[in-house]
Amino acid sequence: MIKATSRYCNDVVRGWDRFWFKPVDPTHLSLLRIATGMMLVYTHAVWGLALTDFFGPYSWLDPEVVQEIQSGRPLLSFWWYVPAGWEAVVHWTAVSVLVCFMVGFLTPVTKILAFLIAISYAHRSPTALFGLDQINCMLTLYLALGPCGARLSVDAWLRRKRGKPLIEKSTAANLSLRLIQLQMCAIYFYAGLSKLKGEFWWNGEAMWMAFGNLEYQTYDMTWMARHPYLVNLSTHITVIWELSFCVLIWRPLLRPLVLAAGVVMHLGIGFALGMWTFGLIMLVGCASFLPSDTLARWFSRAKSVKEPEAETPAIENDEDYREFDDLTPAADDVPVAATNAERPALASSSTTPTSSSPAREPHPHVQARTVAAQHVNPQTEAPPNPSSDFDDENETFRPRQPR
Amino acid sequence: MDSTRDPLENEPVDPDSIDDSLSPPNVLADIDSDRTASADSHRGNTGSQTQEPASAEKPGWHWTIKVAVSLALVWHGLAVLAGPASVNPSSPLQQKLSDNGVTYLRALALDNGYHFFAPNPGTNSTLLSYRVVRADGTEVVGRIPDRNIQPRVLYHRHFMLTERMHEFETQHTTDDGNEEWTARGPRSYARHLCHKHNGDRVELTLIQHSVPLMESVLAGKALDDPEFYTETPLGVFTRKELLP
Repeated sequence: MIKATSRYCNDVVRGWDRFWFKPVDPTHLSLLRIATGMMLVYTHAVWGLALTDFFGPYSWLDPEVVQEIQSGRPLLSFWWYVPAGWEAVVHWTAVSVLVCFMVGFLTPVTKILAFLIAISYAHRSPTALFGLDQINCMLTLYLALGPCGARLSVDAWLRRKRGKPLIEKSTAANLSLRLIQLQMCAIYFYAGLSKLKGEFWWNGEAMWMAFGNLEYQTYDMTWMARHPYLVNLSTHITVIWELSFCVLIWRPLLRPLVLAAGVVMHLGIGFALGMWTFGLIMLVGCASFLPSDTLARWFSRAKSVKEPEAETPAIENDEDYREFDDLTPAADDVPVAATNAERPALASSSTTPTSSSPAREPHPHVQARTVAAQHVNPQTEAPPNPSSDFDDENETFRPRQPR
Repeated sequence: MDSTRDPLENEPVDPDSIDDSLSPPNVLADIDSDRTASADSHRGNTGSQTQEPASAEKPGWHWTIKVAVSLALVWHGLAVLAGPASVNPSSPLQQKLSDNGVTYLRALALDNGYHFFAPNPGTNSTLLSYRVVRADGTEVVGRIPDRNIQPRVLYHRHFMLTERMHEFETQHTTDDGNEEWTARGPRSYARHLCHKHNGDRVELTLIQHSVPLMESVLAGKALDDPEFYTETPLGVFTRKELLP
């Protein structure tokens, strides 16, 4: 009993460690930076069309009243310190910083500034905000915690030009991605949970209340009144999808379906309710669930190199989603005697020194153990690893091998 | 060797992840060659003749840092969950957690309820019509949100101004000692309109636009049929009181 408990606790700690602190390629995070940066630049540039209406001394929201309402709360905004007449200068300087963030120029600085800019606008004009701004601020905050300018950026280009090395993998990149993922789970969970309090979400008419609202409508959706079951179905699916997102998204087999449904829902919001910016920024958040290794390969120029050992990924990669997928037996379930003979991944990768995929690198523990054990015969042929049925790189299950 | 140090090497060894069939020389050689190839790939160079430097891989975090970060993550996770849970109706426990944990989330603009179209989508939209009368007798008449405002995101900004007009309120004590909340939105909006259009007087009217039932639409009613609109005067504000 004590041994089992100890083993369980050990598994929990290792799972936690893998989940939060496993270094990943920063390409994924950099892609999110570009997408978020584009949205930040666009939405903040649009503020410029009515700058004094929202940020001047005689704006819709009287600055004194906003500060009075926010009294006692530490709500930072540089707009409180901008003198009258300087709004345009400050605004377009801020937009320029956001452009730098988007293209990844001086990212260690501009990612912090981008977050400060995003919350400054949000705190200055609180009643003009909607979901778009919430997600903008959230993404910018978590991107600022990681090396979001390490790839696909001016910074990376400059580093290469100057002969400086790039960051290959980063724990902070993983941390940022995980925080975005968990925040998206919380957002959808509460979005779904709060709908359970509403009558219209139960009687199936909620989607009509959205589509039939003239102030939201961009296209005439009144044809849906002739299809009440379609209204009901879309209403119920929305609630079920939002409530189940935080569970199903961690299941590798279901993840593509969950994300595809999210794409349909958010593009539908953009199309029918005219909230393209909100729909797209939610999809940027959802994009944090895309496979990092695959994205890194796609955006690597070495993708033209043939990768012969793709069907036998490294052990480290096999364990990516074990903690979320009970279809995959834990490594400890495999008899030790069989394990060593049945793990070919490292032997396979040792024959392909030109591999460009970080996922196929030998596990560091292998290095430590093999140095001590002085084993030979690196070319051992063996069947695929049965302790992991899920192939993260291809997002498919491998056929099980008899034990 | 530092540039090829694996970030996970400080972790406890997992016996199941060890392949005893590999010899040390080959493994180490593979690590070096893999990293170099990967670095080349990021430089857009897939050949082996490059003279550019290898990629720098950050070493894994020390366990003390991991513990500290883990504690922060637990705290942050609780705060993220407590924030939306404190939206009314909520329990005293939820409110207590929220009060203690959400302060810094508010500073980070993360204190959101995420109640999108909930608990119900609005059964009506809130609009605001205005009439600004100048000293010379000319008038400026308008309504927000105006569907002609482009781009769409700017239209939504104006729509939110009216939809959330009554969330913008402050608490004060009346002459008889009672606490009272006063909506500050209408007066603030009137002040803006008065200054923008150089008005002498501003009249505001609240318009509630109900969403028609499906049956009404099937019966031939248009969404903008006058019967779905109700108007409530919000008051007349003079320049003297708005812009003293």
